[in-house]
Amino acid sequence: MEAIENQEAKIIYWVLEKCDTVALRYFYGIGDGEGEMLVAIDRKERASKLCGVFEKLGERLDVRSFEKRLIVQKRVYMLQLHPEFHPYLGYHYSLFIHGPYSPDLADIYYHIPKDVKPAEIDVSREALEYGREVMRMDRATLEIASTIIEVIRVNRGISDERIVEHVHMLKPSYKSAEIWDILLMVKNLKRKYNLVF
Amino acid sequence: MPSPLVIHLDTSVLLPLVDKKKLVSKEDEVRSLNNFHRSLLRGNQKIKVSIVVLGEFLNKAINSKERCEDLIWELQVFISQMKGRFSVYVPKFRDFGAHFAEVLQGALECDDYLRDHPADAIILVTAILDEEASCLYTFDTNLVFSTRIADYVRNKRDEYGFKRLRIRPPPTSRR
Repeated sequence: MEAIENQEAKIIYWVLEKCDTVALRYFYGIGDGEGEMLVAIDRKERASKLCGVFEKLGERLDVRSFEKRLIVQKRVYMLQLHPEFHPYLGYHYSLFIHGPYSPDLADIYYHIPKDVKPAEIDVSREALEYGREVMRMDRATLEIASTIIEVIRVNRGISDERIVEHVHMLKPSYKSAEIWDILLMVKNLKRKYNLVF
Repeated sequence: MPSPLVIHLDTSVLLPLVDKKKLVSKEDEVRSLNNFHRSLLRGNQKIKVSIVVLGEFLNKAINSKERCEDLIWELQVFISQMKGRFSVYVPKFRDFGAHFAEVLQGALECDDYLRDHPADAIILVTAILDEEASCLYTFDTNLVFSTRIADYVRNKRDEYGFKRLRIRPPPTSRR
């Protein structure tokens, strides 16, 4: 019985996710208690996908220290630019002290249920190659790359010179030459893997 | 003795900065700002927040229901720790303040984002018109990353003969 209810809740959640959530919740009269259950199922699924992506790339999702969480934040940011990884991740990012930061993602990795099983991740070899490139990036590269991408997103059609100038203004501890190198790397990755940004 | 650095804070920074008990902020958000918090208490920087920032802060506190008083208490503690170096800033509608409407209009024209975010627009213009201000610290993606807003701020400050105003997240000592 419980399994059936669980299944039912999953279906309702899927519908809610695909459609106008607020309107449908109102339509179905889903109250707070049921809402919490749906949120818990959603969290577990998202945690499972997150662990699955890291496992697929041969990495453990390690969030035990601040430094490690920072790297996870940036890796997920970069990974979900790829159209094949995006459906498994798809976190909303805002800005924090070290560049783009997702409170939604933090919420997931802070509450990973003990019994979570990594989801099956079905991506192409080419996507895996991109994923491994992201996993090889150090923290500074991830931080600058994600900042560059946000500058490009907010300022469509901006010149490369202006991107470097603006990122350098935001992150003065990095030399312009370093930012140029990472900008070129980001542009190459975009071309090679059809990244969306 | 050099004059103290004057910085404006947006609500997105003020909240996690004072929310040491993580009443409405996440652990990493509060922790990321620990160094900045310490440097503010140790240094001689002056903090100014616009009346809109204070309003947004109070709104957040009110909406946090049972934690309302705790959050306001945290702000009071921070203000007292700053020992007179924290103020709520409202530009007077004299002198440069007389240009408030014009500067606001210009800001709205330079980036559509500000048209839909009036509080951010007022916070930005308040900082632009504060001659003493050196930085506006914010976590608002559009304010920080927009080169149109950066250019507008630079031009306005140059026009009034004010020093440069940087719009960016708070500094971090870690690289």
